[in-house]
Amino acid sequence: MNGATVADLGLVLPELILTGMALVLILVARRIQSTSVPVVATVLAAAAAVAASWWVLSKEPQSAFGGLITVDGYAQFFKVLVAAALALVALLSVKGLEGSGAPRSEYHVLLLLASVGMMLTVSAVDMVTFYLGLELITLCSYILVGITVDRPSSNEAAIKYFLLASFASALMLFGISITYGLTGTTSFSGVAASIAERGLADDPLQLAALALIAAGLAFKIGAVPFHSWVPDAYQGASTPVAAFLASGSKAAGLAALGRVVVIAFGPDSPALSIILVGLAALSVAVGSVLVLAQTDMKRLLAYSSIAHVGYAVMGLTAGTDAGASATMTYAFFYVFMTLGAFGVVIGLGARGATLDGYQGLASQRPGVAGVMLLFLLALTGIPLTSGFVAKFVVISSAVGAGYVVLAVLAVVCSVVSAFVYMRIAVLMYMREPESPTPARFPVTLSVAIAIAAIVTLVGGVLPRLITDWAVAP
Amino acid sequence: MGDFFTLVDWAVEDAGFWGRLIGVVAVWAVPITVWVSVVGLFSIWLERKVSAHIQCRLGPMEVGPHGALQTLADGIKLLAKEDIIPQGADRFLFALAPILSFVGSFVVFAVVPFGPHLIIADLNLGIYFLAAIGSIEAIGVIAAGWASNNKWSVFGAVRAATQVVSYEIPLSLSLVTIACLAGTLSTIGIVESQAGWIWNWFLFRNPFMVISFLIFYIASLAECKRAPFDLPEAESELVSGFHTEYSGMRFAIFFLAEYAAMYVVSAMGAVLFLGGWYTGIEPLDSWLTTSPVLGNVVGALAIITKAFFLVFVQMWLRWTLPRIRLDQMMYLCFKVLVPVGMVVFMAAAFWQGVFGAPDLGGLGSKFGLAWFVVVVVGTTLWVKKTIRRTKGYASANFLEHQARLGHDVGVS
Amino acid sequence: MEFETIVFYALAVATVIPAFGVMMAKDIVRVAFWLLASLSGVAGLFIMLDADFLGVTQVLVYIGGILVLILFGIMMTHRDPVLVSADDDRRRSPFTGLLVSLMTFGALMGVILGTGWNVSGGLANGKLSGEPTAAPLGKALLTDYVLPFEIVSVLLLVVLCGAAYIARRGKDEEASNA
Repeated sequence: MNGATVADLGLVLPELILTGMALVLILVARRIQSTSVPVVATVLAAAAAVAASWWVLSKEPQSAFGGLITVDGYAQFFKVLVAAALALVALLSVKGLEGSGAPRSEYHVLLLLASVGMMLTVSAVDMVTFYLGLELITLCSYILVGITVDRPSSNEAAIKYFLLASFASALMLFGISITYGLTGTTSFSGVAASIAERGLADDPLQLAALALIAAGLAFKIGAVPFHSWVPDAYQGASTPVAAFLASGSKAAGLAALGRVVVIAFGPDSPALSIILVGLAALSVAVGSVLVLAQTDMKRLLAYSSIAHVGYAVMGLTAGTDAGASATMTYAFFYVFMTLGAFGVVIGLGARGATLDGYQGLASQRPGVAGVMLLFLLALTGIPLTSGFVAKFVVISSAVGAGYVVLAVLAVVCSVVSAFVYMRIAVLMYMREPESPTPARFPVTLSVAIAIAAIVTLVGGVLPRLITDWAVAP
Repeated sequence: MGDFFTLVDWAVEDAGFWGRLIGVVAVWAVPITVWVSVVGLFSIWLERKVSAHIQCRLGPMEVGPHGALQTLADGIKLLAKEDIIPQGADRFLFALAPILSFVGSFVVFAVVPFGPHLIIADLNLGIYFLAAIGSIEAIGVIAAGWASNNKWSVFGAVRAATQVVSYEIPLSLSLVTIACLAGTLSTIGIVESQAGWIWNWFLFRNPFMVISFLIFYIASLAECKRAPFDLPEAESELVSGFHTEYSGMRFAIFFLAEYAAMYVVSAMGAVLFLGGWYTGIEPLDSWLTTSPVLGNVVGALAIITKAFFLVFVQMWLRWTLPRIRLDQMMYLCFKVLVPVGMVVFMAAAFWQGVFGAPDLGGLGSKFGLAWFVVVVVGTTLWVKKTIRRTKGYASANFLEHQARLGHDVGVS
Repeated sequence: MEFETIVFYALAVATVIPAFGVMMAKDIVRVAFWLLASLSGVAGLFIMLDADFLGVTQVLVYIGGILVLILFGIMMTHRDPVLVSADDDRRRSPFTGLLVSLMTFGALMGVILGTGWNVSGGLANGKLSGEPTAAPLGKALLTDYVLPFEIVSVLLLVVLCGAAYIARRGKDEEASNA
C-alpha cells in the first residue's frame, strides 16, 4: 500500500464524471419535468466517460489508490463497453419507460451509479473494491427492477431478485473473508502469490472459498445453476432495465470473473477449471434448451442471455490471456446484439412482448424486420454477423485448452437454440400479419438500434477491429 | 484485553482468576452503582423541587431538610409494593426490560471522568462507546412496551425507538465534531485538550461550536425522552407509555434509569463542551499538578456542578415547554438538526484546518478569547432583554396566583 | 487457567447458547432478544481479541441498528408473534435436521482443522498487543482505503434514494386512492 494521491483522481475520471452527473441529477430531480433532459445528460456523461477512458489510457497502464484498482487496457475496454451500454439503454428508455410511472431523474441516476459500479468492478484488482463495485451494481439493480409503479409483477421481481442476490452476495463475501484469512491479503496478485508460495492450491478451505466466490459471481452473471432469478427479474422489470441487466451487468460480471480467474486464483488451479467448465456447459445446455419453450419475448431473451453467458465463460476455462481475450470479444459483441434485440422489442410496444406479435412484421415494417433478423442471426451465431466471430473465438479457445467435448456441446446447443431464433424469423417473413402496423419508432430508439446494428454487422465483417483491441490484462 | 480492564490490571496484577474477578466487580460495578444511586436520588429530589418552584409551590418539605430524604422514603415504599405482572404479558421480557434499560445508562458511567485519573475506564473509544451503548436503552424500552401486552405500551415503545434511533444521528454528528477538534475519542483526552482558560473550552473554540452544543443538547433531551420530547410516555395520550404496566421496584428501576441517563448526558455535555473537570481559571487548574488531592477535589466538584447545571436546565425546559408532535419531532431531527450538524461539522473542521488548535499557538487562541467575550456579552444582553420583557407578566401572575390561594407572599 | 482463557470460554458460551435460543424459540420477539444476547457475546469476543473498535461497532450496528430494525418490523407487521408453520400438525422428525447440521459441522471442522492458517505475528506469541485500533483504522480509511470509503458513500446514497423512493411511492398511491 502506497496510499492514494491526488493524481489518482485523474485515473478514475470516467467514474468521477458519471458520479458527478448522477449527483447533479439528484439535486435537480424535483425541478425536471421534461423526459429528455436526463436522457441527454446521461448520454453526454457516457460520451464524456468514453473520452476520459481514452485519455486516461493514453498514459501507461498503472495501478491507482495504492493498488486497489488498476487502469489497463482490459479495464478500459470494459469501461468503454459499459459506457456504450449506458448510453444505448438511456436512449432505449425514452420509449421504453413511457407510461410506466417511473421517475425519470431517479431512474437515470440509478443507471449512472450502476455504471460507476460496473467501471469500478472491471478495474478492481483488490477484493475490497471488487466486492463494493459488484454491490453498487446490485443495489442499483434492485431498485431499477422495482422502479415501475403500476405493475405488481415488478415489485415481485424486485423482491425475488433482492432475496436471492443478497444471499449470493453473502456467499461471495464469506469466500472473500476466508481467502483473506488464509492469505492475509486482499489484493488479487497478493492472493495469487500467497497461494503459489504456500501451496494452498489444494487446500480444502481455499477450494471452498474459491467455490463461494465463483458461485457469487455466477449468480451476478446469471450462469446455471445460479440463473433462476434471471427470467423472473427480466420479465418483471421494465424492458430497458432488463436490457441494462442483460448488457452492462453481465459484461461487468464477466470482466470481474476474468480478473479473478486470470490473476487471483491463477490459471494453474484445476478446481477453478472444473468449476468454470461446469458453469459454461450447464449454462449453454440449460439456456439453449429452455429458450425453446418461451413465448414471452423478455423471458426468451433472458434464457438466451443465460446461454450466451455460458459461451462467454467458455473463453475463461482456458485460463490463458488468449482465452480472456476471447471472452472480452464475446462480451463486447453480445452487449450490442442483445441491446439491439431489446430495442426492437421496446419499439414494438405491447406487440413486441410476445412471439405472436412478430407475425408478418416484414410486410408491414420491412426495415424493423430486417434489423431484428440481423440481431437474431447474430444471437444464433451465423457467419457475417458478430455472433459468429464471438462464438468462434470462445470455442476455439476451449478447443485450444483441450475441452473438445465442451466445444462440441457448444456447437450442438448453438444449433438447438437456432430453432427459436429462426422461428421468429419465420413468423416475421412467412406469415400474414394479424395486428395493425406498429407506429414509427422515435428517433432516439432508431439511433440506438442503428448503432447496435452497425456494430453487429461491422463486427461480423471486420472482426479484427475489436479482437485486436480486446487484450487480456 | 485492551483498555477495558486497565484499572483492574493495575490494581490486581497477579491476583489470579478470582482476585481479578473481584477486582472487576470492585473497580467497575460497586462505584458505579453507588454513584448512580446517589445521582438518581438527588436528581429526582431536584426535579420535584424545580418543578414546584417553577409552579410557585414548595414541593416536598416534610422528610428531611427541605424534603431531601423524600426520594429515599419513596424508594422504600416502592420496594415494599406488590410486584404486578399483567396477565398475558411475556413474563421473561417483562422482567428483563427494566434491567436492559438500566444497563444502558449504567455502563456509560464508566467513561465519564471526574478528574485526570478519576475514571473507571479510560477507553480510547470513549465517545464512540457512548454512542453505541445509547441504543441498548432503546432495546429495553421496546422490550418493556412489547412485553406489557398493552397497546399504549407498544405505541410508547415504538415512539421511543423511533425517537432514540433518529436522534442518535445528530448526536453522533456533534460527537464527531468534537472528535475532530480533540483528535481523540477518549473522554480524558477530550477534556485535556480543553485545558487553560475558559475560552479554551470547545464551546468557544470556534463560532460553530455553540450550534454544535445546541444540537448535542437537543438530541440528548430526545435520547433521554425528556420534555419536550416525552412523546413515548405522553401521559395525555398514552397513559404512561412503555412503563404503563410497571409498578413497584421495576418501575423504580425505570425511573432511576431515566434520571441516571439525564445525568450521564449532562456530564458528557460538560466533558465535551464545557471543559470537563477544568474550572476554566488557569491558576486553579494548575493545582491538579501542584497539589493533586486538592486539585482533583476541585475538578470533580467542577464537573459535577456543570453536569447538574445542565440537568437543571433539562428540568427547567420540561416544566416550561409544551410537548411537540410526532411529525415535528421527525422534522426537527432530519430536516433541521442533521443538515445543520453536517454543516457545522464541515465548518468546524475547516476552521480547525485553517486557524489551527490554540495549543499550537495559532490564530485560534486569540479568537477563542474574542468569541468568548462575544458569546458572554450576547447572552447577557439577551437574557436581560427577555427578563425585562417578561418581568411584569411573571410577577403579576405570581402575585395573583398566591393571592388566589390565600397565601402570604412573603418569604416562607 | 489464564484469566483470558476463562473469559473467552465464558463469552463463547454466552454466544452459542443464545444462538440455540434463536433457533428454538417460537415467539419471534423472543428470537430477537436471543439474538441480542448472541450478538453481545460476539461483541465481547471482539473486545477480548483486542479489536475494541470492532466490538463497539458490533454493538452500534447490530444491536443499535439491525436489531432495533427487526423489532420494528415485527411490531409494525405481526399480529400474532408466535411462529406457526403450515405443517405444524405433522410431527417433524428432528433427525434430518440433526443429520444435516452434523454433516455441516463435520465438514467445517475438518476444513478448519486441516488448514494452515496464516497467523499474524501478534497472535503467534500468545500475547495481544493492546494497541488502540480506532486511530489506525481511521487513518487507513482516509488514506489507503479512501476509494472503497467513497464507494461506500455512493452505495449509501443509492440506498437512501431507493428507500425514499419506495417509501414515497406507497404514500403517493394512498394519496391518489383517497
